[in-house]
Amino acid sequence: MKRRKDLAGLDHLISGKKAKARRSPNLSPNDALVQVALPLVLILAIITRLMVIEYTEAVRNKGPRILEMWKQQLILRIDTVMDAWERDAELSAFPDFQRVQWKGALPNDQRFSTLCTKAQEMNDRSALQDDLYNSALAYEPPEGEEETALQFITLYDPLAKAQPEDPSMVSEDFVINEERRSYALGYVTDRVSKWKEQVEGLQWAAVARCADRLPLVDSAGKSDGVSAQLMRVSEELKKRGYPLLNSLVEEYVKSD
Amino acid sequence: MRRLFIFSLAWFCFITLGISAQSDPKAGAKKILTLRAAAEKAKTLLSNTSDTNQSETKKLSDLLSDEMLKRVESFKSSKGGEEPGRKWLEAWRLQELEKSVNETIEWAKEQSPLPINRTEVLKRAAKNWSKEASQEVNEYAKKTLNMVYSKARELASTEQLKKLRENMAYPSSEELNNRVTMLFEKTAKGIQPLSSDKFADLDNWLKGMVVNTGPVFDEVTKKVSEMSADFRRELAKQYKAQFEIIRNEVQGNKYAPALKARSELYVSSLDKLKEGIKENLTSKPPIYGTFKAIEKLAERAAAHWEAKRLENFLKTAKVWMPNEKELEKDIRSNLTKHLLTKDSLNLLTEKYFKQASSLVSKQYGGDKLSNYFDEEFSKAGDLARTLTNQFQESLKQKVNAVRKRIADEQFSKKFSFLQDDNFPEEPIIRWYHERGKSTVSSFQDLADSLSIDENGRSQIFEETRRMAVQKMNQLIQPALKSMRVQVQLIKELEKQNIDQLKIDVSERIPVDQILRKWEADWQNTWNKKQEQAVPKWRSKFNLVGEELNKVVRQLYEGMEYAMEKRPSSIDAPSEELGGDADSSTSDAVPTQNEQPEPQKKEEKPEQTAKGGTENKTEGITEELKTYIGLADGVFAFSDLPNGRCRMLFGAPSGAGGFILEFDPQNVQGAAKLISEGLKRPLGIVLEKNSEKENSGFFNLLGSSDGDSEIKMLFKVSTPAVRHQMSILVRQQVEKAIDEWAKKSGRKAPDLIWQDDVEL
Repeated sequence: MKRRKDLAGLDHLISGKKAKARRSPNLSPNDALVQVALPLVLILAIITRLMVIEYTEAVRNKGPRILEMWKQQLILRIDTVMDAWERDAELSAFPDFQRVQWKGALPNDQRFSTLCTKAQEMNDRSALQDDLYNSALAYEPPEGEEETALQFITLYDPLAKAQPEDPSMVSEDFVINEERRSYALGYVTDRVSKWKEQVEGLQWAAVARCADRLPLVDSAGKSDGVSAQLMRVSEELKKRGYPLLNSLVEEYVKSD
Repeated sequence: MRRLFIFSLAWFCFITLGISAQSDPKAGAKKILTLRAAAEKAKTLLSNTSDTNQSETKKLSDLLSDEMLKRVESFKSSKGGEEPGRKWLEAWRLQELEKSVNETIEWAKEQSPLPINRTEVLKRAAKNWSKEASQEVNEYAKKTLNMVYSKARELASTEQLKKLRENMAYPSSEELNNRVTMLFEKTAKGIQPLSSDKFADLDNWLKGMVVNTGPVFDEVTKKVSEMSADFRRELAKQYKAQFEIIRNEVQGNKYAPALKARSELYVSSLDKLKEGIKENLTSKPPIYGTFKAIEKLAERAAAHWEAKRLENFLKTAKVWMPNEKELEKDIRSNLTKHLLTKDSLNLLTEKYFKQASSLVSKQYGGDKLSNYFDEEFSKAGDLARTLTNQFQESLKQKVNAVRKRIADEQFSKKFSFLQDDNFPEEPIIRWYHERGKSTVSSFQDLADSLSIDENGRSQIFEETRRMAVQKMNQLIQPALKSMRVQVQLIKELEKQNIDQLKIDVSERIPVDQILRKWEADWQNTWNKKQEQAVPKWRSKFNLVGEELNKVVRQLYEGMEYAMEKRPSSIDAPSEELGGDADSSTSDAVPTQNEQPEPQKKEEKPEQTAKGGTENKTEGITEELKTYIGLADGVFAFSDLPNGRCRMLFGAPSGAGGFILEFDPQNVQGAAKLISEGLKRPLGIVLEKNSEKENSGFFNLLGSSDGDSEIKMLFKVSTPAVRHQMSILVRQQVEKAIDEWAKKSGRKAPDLIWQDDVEL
């Protein structure tokens, strides 16, 4: 009976006789595909992608790693020095741009000013990285923290600026050769890159906000380009203690 | 369903891009910077709106003029077109602004990594873009209108006029030629070209060229109405330019010297026109080829200069004319036939003209054109007329010279007595005095007074006669004047002495004694007045003595008779003695020996004005003969002793001759009397004149087709007839000629009036 009813319905659909007279309560396959399935598939695809990203990150961070001693020592020293730099730069205070304090069209935030100023060191990344690496090798815990001090073992890099008092006393496992130095510098570079990325993100957002809010300048017939707009905003920020990274300022210079 | 799908997809994309935008601050910053740059550009565009430079002004003028030409109705008047002009400028400027803004937006889209929205840009550029743009554009239109409107209007009207001129229905060459030729034939005289003013006659016709112009600007409307006049001026210019090509030939006879026949001259002009005129009927306005009117002018000039060139030849070349010796021989061979110059000319023309014509044809025409000129001379055309005139003129000069020589001879031979110191003797003077003549009015008088017989008169040339009359007048006029004054003194003496005479008669004083006394009184008076006379004629004429004697004796006898009849009435009124003093001498007491009798005999026919008796007619005819060769009709005025005047009229041949007496003080009455008296005699004179012309030699050459003429001599030998009389008589004669012409159905001859006043 039901099958016959469906066939009759199809006949009506083909002839179009009852299409106007009565609306079918059932969706057609096409309707079903477009109205229901497709959004569902899209939502599922997005969710799946997010889950894969999360999972990959979790796998990477999870699980005990058994590292070689020189490597552990290098990471410990470099993290200690770079954490200190992060603190000095107030980088950790700005996980996102919303944390920056504003007054009118321009920022009014001392910590952001400190960050911008400190971030200027990143304009010469190789020097910063080299400095951080040498500082890490030469790091000595402050006095009074004996327990912490025990964690630090002297490393010897024949090419480093600071040398141990008696390098011959340093075990072969803690001597930094070419391969180990390369690893160390790669580790520093990765982390500096993240800093730079974070600072650039903050500064681009600041530029956008300034550009959005600063009044238009009467250019007296001269039609300035986007580069000029960026320079103008950069100057305004610099005047108020928020110097931008060279990579920002020179964004359009490069393209030119 | 599909719509839903597309919507879903768009929503997904928007969300995705939104997320990515949020996650990429650099892209967001770049977008904002681009928006800002674009907004500044848009703001600049808005603020620059009101500025207009020179090149833009020119461009705008051009564009606005195009717009005006598209919408002529809206821009018809200068004032009324300002508002649409302003609105157009607004729209144009707004369009330009939109275009620039769109370009800016496009540029911004290229610069920004994220999509750029037009509204975002305009919102940043101005608080209310459309309002501000509208205000700025309005301001721009107001400011720019003054700078571009007049220029645009000028461009548009110039262009419109140019197009109208291009679309004018210019007349075809044939049509135009018909009109101009008609105008030329109607108005241009001789070899004069049409003046530029004459082309104005074509205006009404040319107005038809300007039709269906459609709407036009006000300033063009006037020029449209002037377009036909402009074209007329252009036509006149072209006509003048064509004329200038042949001006030297047409007006200056600058043809090649070798050209003689009119066909050669005409072809020469046509060649020059062909060479000088570049026809271009497709140009606007068309440049026409040689006008037919110019060709006709060239044709006229060719005919004119053909005759003139012949005339110049005839004037310079002498061989074709008979020489003076031949002519003199002819004249001397028969002096009687050559008494009058006119007769001489007729006879000699008859004899020599054909020969001269043939010589001219050969010498001037040469082998090539001799036949042509022969033929032309035989026809009644310009060339024949030129030849005839030149022949007559040349012949007249030669004949006059010959006749002058002969006349001098005749005068010195036959009138040598005029040179005598004693001439004229008193009888001759008395002859004129007694006839009341103060001058020798004709050779007839002279011959009669000198008793020259018919034989003596028959061979005397008219020139000789004139010389004799002139010389006679020089001699006799002072004598006559002196005699008249001396006789007049007797009349005065009569008035003066009449009372004394009555006493003397009553006292029986002898008449001889009284006469001596009167003679003494006369002499005393004359001594005082003789200064008026020339020295030769101061001595007392014998006539005076005779007259005194006659007067005294007549008065004496008359008074004596009266006294005997009525002895008591010594103081009888003067009327009884013969009326008043003025008329006492001759009218009151006539004597048997009284001289004025012949005058009285003449007066009768004169007063009737009908020709008089046969004897009188003969006298008139003789008198009129003295005017032979001088005129076709003569009016001779002279004094009569009774204070009235006498008019002699008639042809020198005697035809229509009559004498009339009138009161010179009543000029109008005299003119009327003359008019009435002239009717018949003048008709006779005109008839005779007409017959003479038709039978003349020139009539054989066909010259009678031309205007005939009648020469009238108004000779005045009396101070009583004034110039007014000449005018009045002349008017009467003209009127009479017209009437005669109407009645006779002939052409009225041209009146040639000669005044000859001797006094």
